[in-house]
Amino acid sequence: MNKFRLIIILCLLSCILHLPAFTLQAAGSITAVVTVQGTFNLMVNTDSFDFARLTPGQTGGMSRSEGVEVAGTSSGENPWYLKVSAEKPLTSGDNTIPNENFTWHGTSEGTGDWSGTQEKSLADPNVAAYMSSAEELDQVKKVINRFDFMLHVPEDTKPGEYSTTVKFTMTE
Amino acid sequence: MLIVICLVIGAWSLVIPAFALSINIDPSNIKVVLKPGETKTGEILVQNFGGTKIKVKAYTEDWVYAPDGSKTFIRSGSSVYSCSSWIKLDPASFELAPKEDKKVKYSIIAPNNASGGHVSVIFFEAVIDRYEGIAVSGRIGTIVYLDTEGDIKRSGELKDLVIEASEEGSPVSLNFSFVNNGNSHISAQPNIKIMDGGKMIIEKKAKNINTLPGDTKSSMIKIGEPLKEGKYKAQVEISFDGKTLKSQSDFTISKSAQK
Repeated sequence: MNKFRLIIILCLLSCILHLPAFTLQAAGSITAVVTVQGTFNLMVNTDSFDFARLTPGQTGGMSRSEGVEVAGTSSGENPWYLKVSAEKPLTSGDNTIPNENFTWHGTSEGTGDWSGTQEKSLADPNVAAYMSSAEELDQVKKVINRFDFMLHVPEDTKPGEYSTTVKFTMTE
Repeated sequence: MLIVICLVIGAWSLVIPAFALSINIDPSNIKVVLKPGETKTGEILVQNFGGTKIKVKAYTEDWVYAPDGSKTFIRSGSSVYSCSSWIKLDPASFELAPKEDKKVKYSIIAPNNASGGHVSVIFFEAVIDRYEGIAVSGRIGTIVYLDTEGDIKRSGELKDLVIEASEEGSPVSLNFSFVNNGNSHISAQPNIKIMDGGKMIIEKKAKNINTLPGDTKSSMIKIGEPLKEGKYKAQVEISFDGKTLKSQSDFTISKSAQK
């Protein structure tokens, strides 16, 4: 019988100890505020690529067989655009290869408008590579686009190491 | 169990590409109304979500609309609607360690003779120093729309509505042009309606038409739904700034030659 009483007392004590400390106070309210930051994000999976060794008259692809992957995400209300350009023509000292010879094409995992199904020249700054869809904006979806670059070396090109910067631009 | 988890994580890491450069900004656009001589200040959050330290250069450029609706970026000060030279950025260059962020302060100072609407873009260009061959960089921009208080006229014209329609089952297209003849940027919402007699049978909203002053933007909207033989009326409505422009035209769908 004593054991039974002891168990009941322990149970009651346990209940009292587990009651929240403020239950006997007047009910109140607190305001929780959270600022959700906007996402407008550009991702590029490499900082460089090359075409290895090409001879005048030859057209070649990049050594990097997996291409350049560029992803965009936006939580905004407006469509976003991805563009690709070359800062200047491929240059080696005083010699250049015009950007008309520097082209790209590729594939997109997005549901928006992708213009890379056909080869495009880097000399044309007007065409968007990718334009997001309404669905991607609603879902704040990350869209991965893959770019493969090609270079045609004109017959009259002087030997040398030619370089430039390929720039990906993302804006609304 | 542990082996399975490791295999799943390993496979996942092979599927998800690693991004050398990952830059995030907030906000992606700024809309301001300023009186001549007034200054507006604010901050843009720039974040390095990547795993590599990056150098970031902040600068302004001008832009105009390309035919596909995207923006073509041009040298600062080369557009008549530019406000790029009115924008000051601090800091204009900085480094971001992986997962680090920075608030870049901007001040937009409208000159005393400011009038009409102006646009610009604030770019944050990320550069990774070490590279071999052809360098790859990324830049992300906050678009700036500025209106001069008391001097904004948003007006447009809807014209050249042409309906391309032939026979039952063939696609129907509405072609029209919108002319921005005001003095500021317009983002207009097109809405099309197809009427059979007095009854509206199709209503469709299309993508916004964005224009700068003086721009003419030609649009084509395709109707997906097939129409039966008969006479119809097509109406295009373009809404912006509390106004709606309308244009309508009759068209006929003939009987399919295949029947």
